[in-house]
Amino acid sequence: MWDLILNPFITVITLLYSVFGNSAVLAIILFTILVRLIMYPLNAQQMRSSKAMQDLQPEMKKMQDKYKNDREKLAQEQMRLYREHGVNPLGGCLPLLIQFPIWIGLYQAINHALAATPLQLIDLSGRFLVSGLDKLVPLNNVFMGIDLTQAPTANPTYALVLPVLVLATSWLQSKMITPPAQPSEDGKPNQAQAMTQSMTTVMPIMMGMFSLSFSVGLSIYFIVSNVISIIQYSRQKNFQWRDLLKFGSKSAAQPAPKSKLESGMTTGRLDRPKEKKVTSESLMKTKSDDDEPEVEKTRAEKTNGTNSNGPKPKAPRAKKAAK
Amino acid sequence: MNIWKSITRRPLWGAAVLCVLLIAGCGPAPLGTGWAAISLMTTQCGDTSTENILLAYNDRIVLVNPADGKGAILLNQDCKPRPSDADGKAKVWDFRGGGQNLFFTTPLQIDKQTLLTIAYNQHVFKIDAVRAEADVAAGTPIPDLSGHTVADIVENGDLLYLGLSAKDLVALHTSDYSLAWTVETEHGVWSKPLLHDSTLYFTSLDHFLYAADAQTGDLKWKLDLEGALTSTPLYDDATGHLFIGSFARKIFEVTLDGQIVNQYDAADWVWGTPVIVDGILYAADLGGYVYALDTTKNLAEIWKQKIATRAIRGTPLITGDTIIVASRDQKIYWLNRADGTVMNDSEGQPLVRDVQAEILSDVLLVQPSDTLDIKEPYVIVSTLANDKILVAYSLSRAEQKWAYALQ
Repeated sequence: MWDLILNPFITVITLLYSVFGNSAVLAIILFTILVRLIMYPLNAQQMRSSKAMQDLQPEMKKMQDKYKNDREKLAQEQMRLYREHGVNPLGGCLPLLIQFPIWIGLYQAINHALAATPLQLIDLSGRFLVSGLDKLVPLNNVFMGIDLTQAPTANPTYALVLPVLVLATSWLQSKMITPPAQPSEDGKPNQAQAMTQSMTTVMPIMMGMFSLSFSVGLSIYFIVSNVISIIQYSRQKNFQWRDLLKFGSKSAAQPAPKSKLESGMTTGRLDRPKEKKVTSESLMKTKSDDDEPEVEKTRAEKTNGTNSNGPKPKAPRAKKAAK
Repeated sequence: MNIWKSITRRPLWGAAVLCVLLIAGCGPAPLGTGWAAISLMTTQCGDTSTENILLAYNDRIVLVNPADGKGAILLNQDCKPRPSDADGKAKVWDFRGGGQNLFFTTPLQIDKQTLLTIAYNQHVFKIDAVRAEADVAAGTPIPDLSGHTVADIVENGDLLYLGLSAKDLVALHTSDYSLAWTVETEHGVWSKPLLHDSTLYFTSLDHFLYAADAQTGDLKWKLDLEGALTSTPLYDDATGHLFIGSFARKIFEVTLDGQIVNQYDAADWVWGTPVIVDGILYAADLGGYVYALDTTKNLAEIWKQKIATRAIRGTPLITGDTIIVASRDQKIYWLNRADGTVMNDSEGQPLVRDVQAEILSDVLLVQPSDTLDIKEPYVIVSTLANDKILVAYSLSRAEQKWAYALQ
């Protein structure tokens, strides 16, 4: 079954290699970009869905506190909340599920195409879907004195910059997708969020460590893939770089503000089940408002005056939402 | 406990993690490095000469008795079996490189008491063939070499020739393994060089067949054979030519001064070295085809048969009227030498044996021996599965005789 994914991938990588001057690095970079572009709709849907879920979190937390002794009721209320705001709880998971085989295929295709060992080379036979590519095998896998099939540690010292780049881009990417930690109303740190935050640190370190032992070709794939994700995320969420680089954000020390739903500011929004956005003051403080109706945003500013540092919503989207 | 709680509070996260594990688990298994190298080795202890199967794979080099498929008993200096261990188990010939030392090449038998091998990470081991111990336990590292070692080594007086997986063929001094000279290539040298008449002929993945002076390393010529080359060229006395298969899906006949005389179009990549018997060249390809070509008639096709569903990497074994090939499709095939068709047994059943593990090794033939108590010829292959790393069949009836597990 994997051949259905692997063989076209290997063929395309080799075609790119032949078209772009027999450069394996360029082929890996272009192929990673190509696959990410093809998967963009899925990725975007997943990001939208996770953001919607993220936005519902304050309400979910309150529900959990409210119905902590009644799991059935809690489940009903959660489903009601999802329904009212047009959020599919699996909306983030399904696109992710579809993407996993592609990622695994991409990873494997690069590994196969570089064919570092006899077993990998023998496994490459019969995988090309276009005739004439045999003559390109094995791909020229040396770039700037670096052997792409070897680990950075088995290459010149300057190759060690690659694991560092993998670590840096992985950290940046996971930092972007992880919501800032919000304490609960009683001031105690939210355990799940704290764990997610710690994963933001642990995962990039793990990726950096993996890159030390994986082939350099895969490090290039990781870096390009991370950079694409970073670009994608920064475009998707009216992203503020200065917020990202705040270590130990202030919000972690402050109690979670009340959500708009609870404070009554979203009156009327509950009547619009297809409206996906649920806002809270905390979200206004720390995250994008680009989907929020301008009228509500103004109201929020008047009421709390907390939005002065927040990013300005994009006019066209705000207008659309106001309709 | 807290982590578990936080995960269970987030069913979607839990589901996502499960999905990742499930899909990753169903993903294609990562490929290893190589396959076992097998050969027959005759050791001499006192007046007794013994033939065993020498197997090198991953971190082990073992000797196996071809009669029963059990580990060869380790002998003392006085050629008596060593005392059994505390559990009453006999001590067997089992060399472990330790550390990062992996073996995928056939150890070179310098004499009947010494083996020389180079590990994947380019550490040289000189092994006492009687005691199964190396002179330097962790091996002697060869400095300043790129890549790894996947090609068998060749000895020529005070020089050792070694192909490197990244690029180049090097000659080392046998005395201290220091570098004597290098023949530069554009890509790796994955096959054993052929030493013929003071010239070294070797192939590279860079598509070239090279000829270099065996003493000085001076390049005599190089010839583009259009595709990657992974096998040792075959020299044929009758024609005085070299024969070699390539990833260009071709089998070439080349003169000793580097001219292509004839070529034959195969169906797929040709990895293994061909074999010539009675003027007929037999070869197999990675598409599962086996070929018989007439070397006296410009490589004219005698027959071509699609035998296996996956790659046949090794050299076909020719014995009498039978050809035996082993495939990555986990099967061993007995073929009629006359037309390449699969032979049948006395009950009319095809002589195809399912080993249930991928085979990439060459096929060994062990002749009958009174000292070993082998009454009939055995065919031996190595698989990629540790629990049957060696499997032996009788040549005539294709009956499995034993399987050896690397524990």
